[in-house]
Amino acid sequence: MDEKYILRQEDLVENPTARVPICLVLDTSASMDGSPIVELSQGVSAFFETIRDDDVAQYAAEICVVTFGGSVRKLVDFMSIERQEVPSLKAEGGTPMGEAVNTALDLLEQRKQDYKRAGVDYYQPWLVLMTDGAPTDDIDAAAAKTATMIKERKLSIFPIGIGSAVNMQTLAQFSPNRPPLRLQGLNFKEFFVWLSRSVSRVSQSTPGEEVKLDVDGIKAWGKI
Amino acid sequence: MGQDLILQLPLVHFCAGRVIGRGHERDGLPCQDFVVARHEGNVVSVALADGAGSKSHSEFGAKAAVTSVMRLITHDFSSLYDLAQADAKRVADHILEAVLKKIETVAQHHKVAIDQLASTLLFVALHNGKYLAGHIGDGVIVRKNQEGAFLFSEPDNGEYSNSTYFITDQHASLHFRIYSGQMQTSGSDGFMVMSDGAAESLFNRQTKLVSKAASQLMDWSVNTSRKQMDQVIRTNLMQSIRTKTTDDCSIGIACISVANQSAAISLDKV
Repeated sequence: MDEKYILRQEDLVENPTARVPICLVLDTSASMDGSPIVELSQGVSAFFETIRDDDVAQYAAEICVVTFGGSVRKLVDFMSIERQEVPSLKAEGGTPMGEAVNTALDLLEQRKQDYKRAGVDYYQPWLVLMTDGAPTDDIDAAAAKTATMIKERKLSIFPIGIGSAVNMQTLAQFSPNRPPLRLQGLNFKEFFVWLSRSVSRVSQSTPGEEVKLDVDGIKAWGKI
Repeated sequence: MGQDLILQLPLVHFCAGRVIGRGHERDGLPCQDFVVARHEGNVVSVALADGAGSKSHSEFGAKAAVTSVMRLITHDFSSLYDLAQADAKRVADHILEAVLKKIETVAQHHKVAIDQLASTLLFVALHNGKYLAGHIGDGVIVRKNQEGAFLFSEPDNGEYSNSTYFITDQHASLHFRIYSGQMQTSGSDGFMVMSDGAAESLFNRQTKLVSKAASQLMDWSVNTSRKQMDQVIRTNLMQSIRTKTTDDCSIGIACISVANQSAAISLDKV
């Protein structure tokens, strides 16, 4: 074909990659002290690394980290993963899970508004809730809000229990459709690698495509 | 006088092309975009459908949607145009009914539910100095005339990047936009339909501006034969546009121009 009919690259547009906002809501209460907090830290680090190594997900995934141990803290705010540092986690205090989930929902909503203002497309937000115990505050409002959002397809939630003392029934209140999963031992790293792969799959999905979770992959780190 | 008359004759130009996306190629799936441009019965038309990603037979749905809407807008242009001027919603309902009837037949043939043939739909038909267009779901319709290239119908995605509206949706008619109006009588005036995969490179979602590349393709379509333009579209889809997305990519163009050189088919009334 005649070369004069080849479009110039500079005449094409560059649209921003559609984003997948993800909020990790992590239990850093005193009961997580010792091996659990060390393994959780390593798992979060592996999550960041795996996303950075993924050609598509590194531009699509936007991560925020909220911890609840004594108080609720936003350790990492949404931004490009290239500019983010992996947070260091410290175990202390009680388990204000309800407040942490409400904070995460507010942050996800704010991020969606940022995308809308900037004209950036986005996928359904994800909330990953990990805990080893029972909440020390009232979770009713937060659980009702997440349940409503999930039914309205405004949120995907991944509730993960750690260890044998976790109250799985409490976790289930946040997730009307998908039962919470219990981490096998301290397989945080396996979980976060699975999570990053799931993010990658979603970030490559096209309209009308229902992304199915890698159920077989769950066996490497979790059980119902 | 005789020479002047010949120069005033409008020409029609139409072309189309599609390529499979890298994602579907990787997963061993077929191209789920379908696009056709043609000229028949003094109507020049183009239609494009993008099959839903996770539906098992959406490539058949896209083809059925395109062929059925092309038949309808070619055969019934004038009555549909007149109705659209009075009540666009009735045109949307009428076209949906015809398209769904065809899709139902195809679904029965494949022994699947009709939602397995879900697709978007974009079309434009030109006849006798008028246009009739329709759009449901994502993808973009661009118009280019003496004012330049501009957004004519934007993507309707719903909230999320991987969601959109399909012709098989329960409330599809609420999202089926119908347009009708007059073509410009001087210079060239035409439309480009594109799937969301192609729009990734040809339409700026933030500014809603049309790329120079899209405008260039429409210019080329006026001065190049259909056969060559089909190849130009396919080559550029494959070499440039496909590399910026994992999705299938397709483009169709339908336009008219006042004849100043022998470039296409002349008509008495287009």
